[in-house]
Amino acid sequence: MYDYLVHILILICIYSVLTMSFSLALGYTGLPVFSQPAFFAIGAYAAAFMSAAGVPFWLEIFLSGAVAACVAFVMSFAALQLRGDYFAIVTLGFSEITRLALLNESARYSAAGDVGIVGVARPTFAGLDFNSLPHFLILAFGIMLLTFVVLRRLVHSPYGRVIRAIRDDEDVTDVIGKDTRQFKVEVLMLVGFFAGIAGSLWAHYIQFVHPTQFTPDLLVFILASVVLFNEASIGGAILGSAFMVAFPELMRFLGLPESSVGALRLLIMGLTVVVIILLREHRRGRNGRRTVASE
Amino acid sequence: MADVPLQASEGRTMASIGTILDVRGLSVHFGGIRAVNGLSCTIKEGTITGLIGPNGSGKTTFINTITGMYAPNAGQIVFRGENIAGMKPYQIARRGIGRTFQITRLFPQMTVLDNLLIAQMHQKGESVWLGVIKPASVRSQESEILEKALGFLEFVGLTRLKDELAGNLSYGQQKLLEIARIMMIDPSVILLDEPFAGVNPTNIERLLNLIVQLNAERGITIVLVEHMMKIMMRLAQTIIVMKAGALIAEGTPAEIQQNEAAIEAYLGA
Repeated sequence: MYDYLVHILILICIYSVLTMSFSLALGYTGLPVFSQPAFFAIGAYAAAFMSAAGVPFWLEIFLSGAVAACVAFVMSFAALQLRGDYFAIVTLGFSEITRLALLNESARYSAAGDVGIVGVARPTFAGLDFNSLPHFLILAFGIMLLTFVVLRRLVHSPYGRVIRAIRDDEDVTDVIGKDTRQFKVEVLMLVGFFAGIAGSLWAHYIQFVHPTQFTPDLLVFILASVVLFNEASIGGAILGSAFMVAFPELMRFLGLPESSVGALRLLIMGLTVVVIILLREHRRGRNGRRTVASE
Repeated sequence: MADVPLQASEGRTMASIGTILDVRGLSVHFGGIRAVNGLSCTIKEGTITGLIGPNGSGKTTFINTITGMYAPNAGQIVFRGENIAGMKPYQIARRGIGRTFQITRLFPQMTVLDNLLIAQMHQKGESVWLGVIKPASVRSQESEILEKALGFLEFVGLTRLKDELAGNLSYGQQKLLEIARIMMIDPSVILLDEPFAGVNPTNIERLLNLIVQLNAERGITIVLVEHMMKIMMRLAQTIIVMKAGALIAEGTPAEIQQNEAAIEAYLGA
């Protein structure tokens, strides 16, 4: 029971790193970066390869983020030609291309077909061993906290002001002297970086990397987590992730009839999400806020 | 049409210091439509220049092109001796050309104060590193910007609304805020696209005074698109008349009211 609880908390920490960076893009900048699963996957694969090659953990987790950031940089050349829904579609396409490439390429190099990467080691770092679950939780929580502090400080700085302006009206932001393209490239790279770090944590925690972990289902999960409470809030992304991970687990203890437990859980989950969003919109309507973050 | 004789500038005592904006043979095409067609004109530094013409004559396209939102198909826009035609909007803004929009475009989900703070150029805290670390240099610059922004809020009379979301302001207040925002970039030229449209009479008077003040006290060159001739008569020293993307007359308001081409194209009998 204790291990189970720690497991849930670790998942919340890892997903939070992913969703906080997504909030930076969608909630603050108005960029629907739907390639989040690809950056997550790239971070995970990079970590798995580097870990096998004996790269020290602190360097390897940083490099996993850096590799994903570089991929985001390259993707930005194509994706930033477009805006709004079109940008979303291109980045979603990029995500699927990455997943399918990983699927097919790994199958090509292995006689056994597509088996993913098995046995990624739990990290050791500065004489500490993060093999046990509580230790890994401390590591994951530390990285989540660091991500939270960095992103929160960033959105409450002049930089944050510019990206919120881009969300509200990109052309006008340009007209008042901001190189909006550069800001968007930087945001994409930050998103890639933190998603890559989350991927690295994931690989070390699950100890197994496979393309089926990075399907559009993951994107739906991230999107729901971020939009649930407030997409323009770094803390809201953590709350959303906690809800999306923990709520289905809590329903295990409701004593639902076994014959229809699967369907009932989904039904309750769906209803709860709808109710939360409705309450959110109601509250916002009173404040006279517009609700759509992207154009 | 570019060889229309320039009728202005003789016998006028006001600051004809020099040309700040020199537009030469500017053409902007959208497919087969020639929105601006070989337009040439000069804007003198420190003046208020009016831009009039019937709907669809290319006034807004002209402003959009000067500020880099459209790239011209041909021609030059020389600002302080440098050709800025085809530059990106942010590059042009950094050289000191600001604008407002026909229908105000603020950042509706940001506060009134943030709408001003953001417009300051060269903010150290706009880099990712310094934004996160926020060293003393960023914080001290931030308080300077804050002071400047509060000054402009006072100037346009919106101080008590500083924490309100810009999207919640009345239309007249939004127009005022838009002018305050563009002042934050320290412009030497401001292009105002119909600043009086949809503003109630009280605020019109306030806006008028504001524009005169910006010009007279701060020496800002102003280019003004406006349909109300009464306002033009009061504000503009020179009026440029456009029709079908070309300049058809230029002169003082009194001259334009006598100019046959201008009367036929725009003013009516």
